[in-house]
Amino acid sequence: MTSRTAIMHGSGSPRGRRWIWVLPPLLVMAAALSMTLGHYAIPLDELLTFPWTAMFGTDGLSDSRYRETQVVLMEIRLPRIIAAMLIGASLGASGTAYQALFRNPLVSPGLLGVLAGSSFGAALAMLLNDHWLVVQISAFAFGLLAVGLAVVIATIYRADSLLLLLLGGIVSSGLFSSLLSIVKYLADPYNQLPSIIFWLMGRLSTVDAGAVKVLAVPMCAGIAALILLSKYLNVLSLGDDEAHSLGINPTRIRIAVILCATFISALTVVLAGAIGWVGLIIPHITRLLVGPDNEVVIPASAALGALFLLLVDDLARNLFPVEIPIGVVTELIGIPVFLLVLHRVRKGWA
Amino acid sequence: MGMTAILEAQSISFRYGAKEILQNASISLYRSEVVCLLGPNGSGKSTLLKVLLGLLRCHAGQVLLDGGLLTERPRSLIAKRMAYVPQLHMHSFPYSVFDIVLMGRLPYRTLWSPYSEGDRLSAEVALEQLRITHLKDRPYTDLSGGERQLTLIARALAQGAKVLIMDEPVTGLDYGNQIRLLEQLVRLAAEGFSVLMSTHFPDHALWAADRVILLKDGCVVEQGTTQDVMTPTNLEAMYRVPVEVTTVGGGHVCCVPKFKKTVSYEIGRKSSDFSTSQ
Repeated sequence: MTSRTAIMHGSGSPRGRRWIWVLPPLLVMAAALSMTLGHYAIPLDELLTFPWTAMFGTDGLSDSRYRETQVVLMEIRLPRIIAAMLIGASLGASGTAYQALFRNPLVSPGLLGVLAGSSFGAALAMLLNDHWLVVQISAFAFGLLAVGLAVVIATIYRADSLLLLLLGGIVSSGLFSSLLSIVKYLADPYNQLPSIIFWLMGRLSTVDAGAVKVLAVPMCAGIAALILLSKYLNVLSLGDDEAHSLGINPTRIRIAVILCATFISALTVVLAGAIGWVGLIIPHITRLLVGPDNEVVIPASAALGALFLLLVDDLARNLFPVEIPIGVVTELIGIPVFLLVLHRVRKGWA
Repeated sequence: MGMTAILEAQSISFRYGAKEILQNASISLYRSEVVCLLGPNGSGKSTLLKVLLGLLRCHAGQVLLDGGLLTERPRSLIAKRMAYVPQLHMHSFPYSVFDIVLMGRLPYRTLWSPYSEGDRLSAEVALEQLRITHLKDRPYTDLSGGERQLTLIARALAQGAKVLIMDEPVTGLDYGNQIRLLEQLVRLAAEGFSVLMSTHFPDHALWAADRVILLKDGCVVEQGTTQDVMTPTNLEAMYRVPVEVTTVGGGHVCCVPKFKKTVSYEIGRKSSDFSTSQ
């Protein structure tokens, strides 16, 4: 009990806040490390001279070496590293937001059906038209549609009930999962089905630099919006009457949070398919480190999510000669971590 | 009373579907007083408090805060004047006591402004005022019932509210904590706060309240000074049990039910002594 009490300190203690400042430098270091990792070896000193050569064109790397390094770093590794960080941050922050919103530490960003919807949207597009842009737009649109459906179901029965929203999410997820099965059944088993299945596993290997550039801004904006909303999340998790009596309109905050979290979760699917478990375990680990105050937990879980996915991706692409889909790795790592965390959840609300 | 009410309900009615919960209820709350709201289960106490807080909208009548219509005020302005101390808390994340008290500063914040040093200071002052600074870093979920109530009252103070609306604040507290909480409320009233609390304990009204409101079947049946309202006749009519309101040594008043079983022992004498003396 005493150890838990010590860890559970919130923003009132400096302990929680101190932690958060470790994260950005750690993230930069991890990103630099990830730049050097890979089948094409780039030692750290070359990595450090690279920007110099790029800016001033003089000394450092030889011409051919520079060109190779440039392609590997800027066109292959950097987009992938940025994508991993954006996705990890989005899933971490939206997972935390959902858990606070639903007053339940066991929910994940997929709760309202965004992952199921996006997966169906992507698979459908692959079945009908294999252009990547179409697949991405369809994934995004169906992700939003699935959450919209969950919200509509909840509203039809009774506005503003969390339980109904949750049930709406289950219905919507179920619907889109079964639609996905139909698409899989209809897909050509030699070409389309494998690509659909690989896509659904979640992967960063096919991340496209153009998409990362376009999506980085809205994803960062979505995370920033969740950070702005974070101080309201604490109150929201205590109940609507209290939120009202503290001068807040809980419905409005809830809609804003669901919109932002859905938006960025759908974009993660657009970038790299459905990557599970990050949005569930990262909020837990973050709360263990910094306490439950959402004003700290939201930004910290974004940073920790970014760090986690970056490191997991390093494992996924370097551990074996053949790359493993990152969604599989997050699942393999996520399950034991979750079991450890569950032990704490049983005691309190980690 | 000769002065204007801070909070006033003018013949309000409220119903859930076809069921009338409140009928033509009028009450008022003045500065620097503790008012107890008594009534049997299902008499509409919680609903009345929620209507007064603006959490529920009455179907008829109106609620006035500082003489102005409650419904015409922005929520954040209401929150700066009036605070809600809920009875039970939903199971939630283990926020620290400080985090909970700091929430009281939300009405002063906008989306773009995080909590300031001033807000943190207000929260510290509120903790100090209720003498619970030592609880500051404790997880709220680990507190005893009494400590939780004090935390929520501290939040109300941090909110800057002068009106405290409390729904059965002593329910679930042990005897000592009940008394200490009531004493805190009396102290706050002396400092200028207005406290309206619902309770199931007539004694608490006798000890702490300046005025009492009796609610039955959604109607205000009596409203006035504690002395005038807390009569055996009124209490018997409300709870349908015979009671006696008596003054005991030291001038303390209490309400005693005429219990069916009568005692055959003397206070201050152990039962062992009793048996040997026989």
